[in-house]
Amino acid sequence: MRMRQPMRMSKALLKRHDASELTDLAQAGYFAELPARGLSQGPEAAVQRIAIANGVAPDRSGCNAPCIVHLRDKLWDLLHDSTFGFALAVTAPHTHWIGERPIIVSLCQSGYRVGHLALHAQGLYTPISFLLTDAGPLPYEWADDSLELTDAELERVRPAIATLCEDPEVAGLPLGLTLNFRFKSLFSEEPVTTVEYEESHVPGETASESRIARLQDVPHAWADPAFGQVAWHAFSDREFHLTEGHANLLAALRMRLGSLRNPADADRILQQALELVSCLH
Amino acid sequence: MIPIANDLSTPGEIASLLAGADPETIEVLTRILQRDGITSGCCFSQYCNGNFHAHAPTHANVQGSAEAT
Repeated sequence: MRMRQPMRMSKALLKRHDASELTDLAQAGYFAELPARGLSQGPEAAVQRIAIANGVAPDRSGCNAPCIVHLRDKLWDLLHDSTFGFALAVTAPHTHWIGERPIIVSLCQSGYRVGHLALHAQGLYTPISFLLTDAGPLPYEWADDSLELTDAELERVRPAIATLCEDPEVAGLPLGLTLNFRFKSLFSEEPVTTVEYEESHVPGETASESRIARLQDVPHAWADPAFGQVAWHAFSDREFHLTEGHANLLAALRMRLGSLRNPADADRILQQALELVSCLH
Repeated sequence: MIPIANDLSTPGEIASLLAGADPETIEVLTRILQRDGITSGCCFSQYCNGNFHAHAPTHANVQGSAEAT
C-alpha cells in the first residue's frame, strides 16, 4: 500500500500521537513505506549507505563524511544556536524490525527498551527519530510517555527539523536526525554515550527488543568488532570561524583521534595530551 | 620538546600538534574535539543480548579496549 499524501501528512506527523492515530498510520501503510524512504534494515546497511554516498565510512567524529558535515552546517546556518547540537544527533537511520507497526522507545530500569512495544490506549507517543525526505521529516521511532520530553523542548526542535528538510540537498542525504534525550533532558549540555543491543527473550530467535544502556554500563561494547557507531554529534565547526591554519590543525588532530573506535579512549588521550601541553606553557 | 611517537593515537602525538597553538586556540580546538566524542553505537549482530564478549573472544587485543576507561 502506498503512503497517502506524505507531504501533507508530514507536519502532522511531528506532533504527539495517541495509540489509535499510530494504528491509523499503520493501516494507511506508513510503516511499510519507510524503507523506500530511506530507513535501512539493520545498522550495518544504514552505515553502508553513508559510506557509499561519501566514498568513505564515517569515523568517530563524522567529519570525514561530507554529508554529515553538510547537515551540521545547514543546521548551524539555519539556527546559529549550538544548543541544538546537544538536543539532536545525526544518525544512520535504521531499524531492527521492519514491519507494519511503530517502533516505540520506553524507559526501563536499566535504560530504555526499543521495539514493537505494545501501544497503550491512554498513552501519548512522541516522534523522536526522523528520516530527512523531500516529503518532510518522516518519524520512524516514537517515545512513550515514560520519557520526559516537554512541549517547550519539542516546540524548539520540530520547526528546525522541518525547515532542514525544505533544503533539497538535505532531503537527499542518507542520514536521519534523532532527539538526543538519552539519560538527560533534551537540551542538557551533558550528553551521555550510549550503546544499543538486541535482546532476545528466546535463545536463538531474532530479538524482539533492543536495550539502550550507558557505555559505562556496557564497558566491553566498543571493543567488540560486532559493534559500530550509528550516531554522530550535530555541531558545526562554523560556529568557531576557524582560520585556515586552525582548521588544518583540527583536521590533523581529528585524523589521529578519529582512528579510535571507543570515544572514551579518545577523550582520555586528549586529556593526557592537554596535560602534556600545559606543562609547556 | 615533546617527542613525536610513531603511534598516531598517542597523547604525545596529539600534544605535539597542539603545542604550537596559543592557549585560546587550544581551548577552542579542545572544545570541538570533545564534542566529536558525542556519539552512540549499536551492536550489528543478532542474538546479542549484550554478550559482547561472545562476539569477540580476542577483544582484549582490539584497539580501544574499554577496560582502560
